Order: sequence, then C-alpha cells, then structure tokens
Amino acid sequence: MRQSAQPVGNTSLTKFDVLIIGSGAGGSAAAAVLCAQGQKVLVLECGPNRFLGLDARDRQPLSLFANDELQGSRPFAFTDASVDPRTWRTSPSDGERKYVTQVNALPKVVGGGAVYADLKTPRFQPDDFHLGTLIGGTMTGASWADWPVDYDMLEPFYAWVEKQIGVQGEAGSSPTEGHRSTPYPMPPGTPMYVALKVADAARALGLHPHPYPGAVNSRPYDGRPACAECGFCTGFGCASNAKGTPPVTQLRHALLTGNCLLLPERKVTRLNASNGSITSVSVIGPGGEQERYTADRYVLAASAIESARLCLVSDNLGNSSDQVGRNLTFHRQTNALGIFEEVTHADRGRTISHGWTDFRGVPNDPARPLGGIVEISGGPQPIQEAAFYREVIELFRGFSGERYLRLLQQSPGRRHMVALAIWAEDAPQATNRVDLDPSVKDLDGIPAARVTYQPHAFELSASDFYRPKLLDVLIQAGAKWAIPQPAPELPESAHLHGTLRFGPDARTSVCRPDGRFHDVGNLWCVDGSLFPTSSGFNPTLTIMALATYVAGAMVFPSSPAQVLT
Amino acid sequence: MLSRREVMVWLPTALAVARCAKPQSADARYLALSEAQVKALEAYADAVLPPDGSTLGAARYVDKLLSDTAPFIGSNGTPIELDRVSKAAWELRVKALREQLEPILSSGKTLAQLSLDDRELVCSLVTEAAFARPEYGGNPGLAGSKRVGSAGPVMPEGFVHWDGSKNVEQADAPVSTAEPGADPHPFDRRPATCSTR
Repeated sequence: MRQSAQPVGNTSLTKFDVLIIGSGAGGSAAAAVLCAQGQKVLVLECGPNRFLGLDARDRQPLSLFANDELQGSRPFAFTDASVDPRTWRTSPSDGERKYVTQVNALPKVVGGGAVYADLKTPRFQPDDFHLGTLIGGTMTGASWADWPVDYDMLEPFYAWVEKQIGVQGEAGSSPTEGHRSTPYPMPPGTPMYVALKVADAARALGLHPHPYPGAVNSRPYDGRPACAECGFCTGFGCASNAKGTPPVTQLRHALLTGNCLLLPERKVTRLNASNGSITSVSVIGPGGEQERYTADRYVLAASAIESARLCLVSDNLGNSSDQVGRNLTFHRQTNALGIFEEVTHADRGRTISHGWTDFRGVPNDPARPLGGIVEISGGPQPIQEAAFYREVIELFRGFSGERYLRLLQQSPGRRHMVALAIWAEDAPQATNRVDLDPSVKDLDGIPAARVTYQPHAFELSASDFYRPKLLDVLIQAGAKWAIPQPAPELPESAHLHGTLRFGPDARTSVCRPDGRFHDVGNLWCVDGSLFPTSSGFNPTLTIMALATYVAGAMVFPSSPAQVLT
Repeated sequence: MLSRREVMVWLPTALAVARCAKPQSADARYLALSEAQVKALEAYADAVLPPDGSTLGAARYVDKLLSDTAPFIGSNGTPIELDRVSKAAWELRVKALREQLEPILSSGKTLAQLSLDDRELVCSLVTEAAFARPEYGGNPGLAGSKRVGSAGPVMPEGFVHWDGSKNVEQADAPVSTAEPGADPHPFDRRPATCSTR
C-alpha cells in the first residue's frame, strides 16, 4: 500500500466508540477531545496523508508539502472536476445546472482545507450568535436564525483551541472583539511591510487595524518551529509545520493518546441506517475496494457541501425537516487591488499579518452595514501572477513576448501589489442549497453535489457600501492605481457553512443544540454545516471551538466544558 | 534503533532520495517528445519569454510532465505517489494535454499564428517551466525565477529565521521594512494609462 494510504496511529484497535468522517478542522478537533477522554476513535479521511511519522512520539512529522506552486495547480490535493465534479446553478430557472466544474472545493487531504489555508483564526464577535433576534424579522427572503450557543458559552472552547493549535495575536488590539479569558498563546509574528503601510493609511482614515490572529508560530511552539515567512502560505501546505494545521496539532494529539486510528484514502459513500441509527458506513478504499466500518457513534466532519451530500445519498438521512442542504452560506468577498510604485514585496511573509474589523458594521445600522473583517493581503507567486498578465495582454494588445517579460519583471501584480479583501456576512437563504445533481456523477458513480446559489441584496448592498472605502485606504496608502475587483459569478470563498444547521426546533434545523441529529440517535456533526449564520470572520477557529464543544457534549452531555479541565 | 514499522515507513523515502540523487546528464534522452517536438517547443519558449542567454528548460519540463507517473515532488525531494482519485484525474489531464499539444508542435505555426486557446496552453507550459521548482525539469538553477526578481521556490528557508530568542529578517530581503536596494525594473515614468477611481 502506498505511504499516503497507510493506517496511522494505533493499528491494534478493532472496535471503536466513535467514527469520524473527515480529518479537517472539525474532525481533528473532535478527535483530540474524544481520544483524550478515553474514547476509541476511528477517523476516515477520503484524501491522502502528506505527512510522514504523524504518530511518531520522538520527532515532529515530516511534511511533504513543498514551496511549490505546481502543488496548487496540478491535482495534488484539490479535487479535479474531471473525476470529482460539482455542478452549479443560480436558481432552478437555469435548468438542471449551469456549470459542471470545481465549485467551492476544499482540498481532500488529511487535515482538510485547513492544511491549505493560511489559517487566520479570528474569533466571532458576541453579536454574531444572535442575528436571528437582531435582524431576523426585518428582511424578506432571508432565513436568519440565532445560534443555540453564544459567545460566552464558546469562549473557553476558543481559548482551549487557541492553545492547542498555537495562535499568535494581540489581545485588545481589535476594538470589537469579545472578552478573552486568556491571552493569545503567542505574540504577533514579523509584520509585513505592505500591511504596515496600509495599516498606517487606514489609521489615518479613522479605522482600527490590528495584527491578524493566526495559527502560525511566531516562535517555536509545541515542538514546531517558528514561521520562516517563506511566502508560500495561502493555498499551500506548510513545509515546516510552523502552521498549526490539524494534522500536526489536534489530530497528532489524538493519535499520540493511543486511542485513535486514522485511515486515509477511505471515501465514505453511504451512511447505512436502521431504526433511526447508523449501523455502519460503506467505504471505497485506496485501491477501489469496497469496505465497511462500524462504531457506536458517528460524526460527520466532511465540510458543509460534502456532509450534506453524504446525508442525501444515504436515502435522505436526517431530512424529515427538508432542511438538509439548505441555508448554504459562503462569505461575500469584496476585493480591491493597489499597485504601488515602490516595491512592497508582498509575496514574502505569511500573506496576511494585519486587518481591521471596522467594516464588520453593526446590525440594523444603515450607516455601518453588516460586512466583515478586512484582510491586508499579499501577492501571488510568479506562475499565478503570469496567468493574470497573459489575460490582460491578450485582452488589450495581443500577446507579445517582450511585453510579457517586461510585465513579469516589473511585477505590478506581485512585488508592487497589495490586495484588500472583505469577508462579509452572507445572508442565509433556504433556497441557497446543496442537493444531488440528477445525472452528473463522480468517478465512483456517486451523484455530484449541486449548488444552487444566488446572493441576497443584503450582502450586495454591503459590498457596494464598503468597496469605495477600500479604494480610499489604498489611495491614502500611496497606491499608484487602486482597482476594484469584479466579483466572479461563482463565489470563490472556501468558507462553507449552513446545510445542517443546529437549533432547538426539529422543524427548522437538522441538528440539535448539542450537534446531534434530530432524526438520527447516534449521528453528530462538527463542521461548518452547523452554522446557522456565517458571521463576517474566517470560520476555522469557530469550527474547531464548536467541534470541541460538541465532542465535549458527547462525553459530558450536561457540562461539555468538563473536557477542558 | 528503528522499529520494523518505522523502517517500512522510511525505507521507500530513503530509496527514492537515492534515485533522485543520481545525476542526470544534460543530454539525457527525452521520454515523451521527439527531436522535432523539442525544437518546436524551444522555439515557442523563445517567443513567450525572449531569451537572455539562459535556458528556461521548457522542453525538458514538458517531457517530464508527459512521462511522469508521480508528478509531484515532496519537500524531501522525493516523488509523491498519487492517490486513486488524483491519479485518475492526472491521467485524464495528461491525455488531454498530449492531444492538444501534438498538433500544435507539428503545425509549423508561429506563436502569434496559434489560436487563442493553443497560445494560452503554450504560454502556460513555458511559464510553468520557467518558474517551477527545478526538479520538474525547467527553471535550471532558478534562472527563470531570477529573471523576474523572484527568490524562487526555494525550500523552506524563507525570509526570517529564529535565532534562539527572536525573529531575524534577512537584511537584503526584509519582510517588515522597505526594500533596501533600487528596483531593477521600475515602472515607466510616463503618465498612468489607468484611472485611479
């Protein structure tokens, strides 16, 4: 068996208390808690394992991820539409589908999407958990709902996860953050020049930029090295393990308890149920063989699109409410580019070292509409940069090698660039959903997930409101050109939420407040599927904190926080 | 002392490293491209990125792309085997690439005469060759990266190191301060052709 499919952890385990489907942010966080509490856990991951020695006690795992642009463009970890397609339409009026392509795909690999993220980890704000109450009744076409947990309940779980994965940040630097029971485990790392330059401009315009919290080591931590600021962060697996991704933190912690077995390259194709309980899962193994695994309890952690798809292909499991797959939310991205005369060398560093939360806004305040956190971001690496230049040259003047080389050398899109991005709240809508495409199937004949989605006026108007303000900041910072980026038809956000909402009412939610399915007695969910609303912040830390909370509730139903002691 | 299991895990890596360490001669045979295709590709490469005396390795890159069954190099320099699904995707991609590329290389057309799609394919391949890690066959000695002021995909030193008590930035390539040297390729000083707002 190839290395990437080999079992990792305690291979003598044959009977499991819990089976987790997916090893990303949610699955690994849950595994860490459950294994620490003595539960025997089997983690099934459909993607390969790109680490050697993940369960070695005496040394850090060897990451096989490299500073290698091709690992982002060849089918290394990201799904390829030729064998794992998704389909897309804006509404049923488009017909069965408008596109067959790679729709909001997260990498399928041990560690999931968090491995390829730059792992920014802001917490949600206290108001984010109450938008059903704060704005729910005032908007047509939207399905706002309160979370069944609030910031105060989650705060100790946030603190726990920040310590587990190693988060850098500066407490109190964001004027809108909720209270913290603990300081950040690490101070901010080396700031990026381009971020400092833009932050000064933002400050001059009355905004409050601050170091962006992130699970990237600013100093050696938990046996992992400090970040070398190599520039291969967003969209790349970390070659040094300075990034606190799930495999080298929570999953590794789980494996080292001796209570965990990780099986990579196991694609779960069906949840087999009987009398309201899961009895087993059907799996396709590394060589295409059919396998079956069992446990007492099961946990879905395959991401908002894949977890819903799995329920739907399993005879519409857990869907008595007709809510499975509905209320899919992304984050509305509003982007602007600034090109500077001076070299900003934004391709160095961990891509984003600063941001501001002023554009998150206030519910129901037309003078400060609800948007999201702003990232001050760097440029791409040369291959991706060059693709953009080719488009521009062909569009305006026709291709010429001399012009192409000159652009690459001047490098406005990398060495002179800054990108600003708002991750804004996406109003939930029942009609924005995942279901099964009626005829498009994947390599194994499983129906593809079909995404039906169109933005709500809520996020479009917020985007219109804040876009000029992004340009103002860039111009204040001295950009020679400030350019708004048009939004693509298909949202590019890898932030996926909703589809298996949690809440107290079985008619309007799929999972209970403790993450267990209303309809299925031994099935829980711990990924972004649970989110009733998307907030305006990167979701990874909240997915991990919520997964820790749910796992805590699986062990101590009346006092989940006991797992933190 | 390594356990049997650890040996099983690490042995393939060690063997692969040894295989990779074997030097490849400059005139090593091409596995997927004919001599005529190599010449055509190199001519296209010169048209995409005008030569400056250094080679971009475009033909070697494409040859490796078309013939490699393990199309990724790990951080330890070893080839990475693809999983079942990625392998299927890769085989489809290579088949499609071969079908599109072969007529281009035998067409006798200049870069400008190619269709937009064909030109984009050639340009993207030459660009990947120029800037990808040298282990993929192109960018020999990081020549392509250096031409555009990129440090290149070097492993994984980065621009900052931890000296035991604090982070230290490279003096000639800082992260948090302005670039110390002059820009070797400054923008034109003529008026901007794009408006700012």
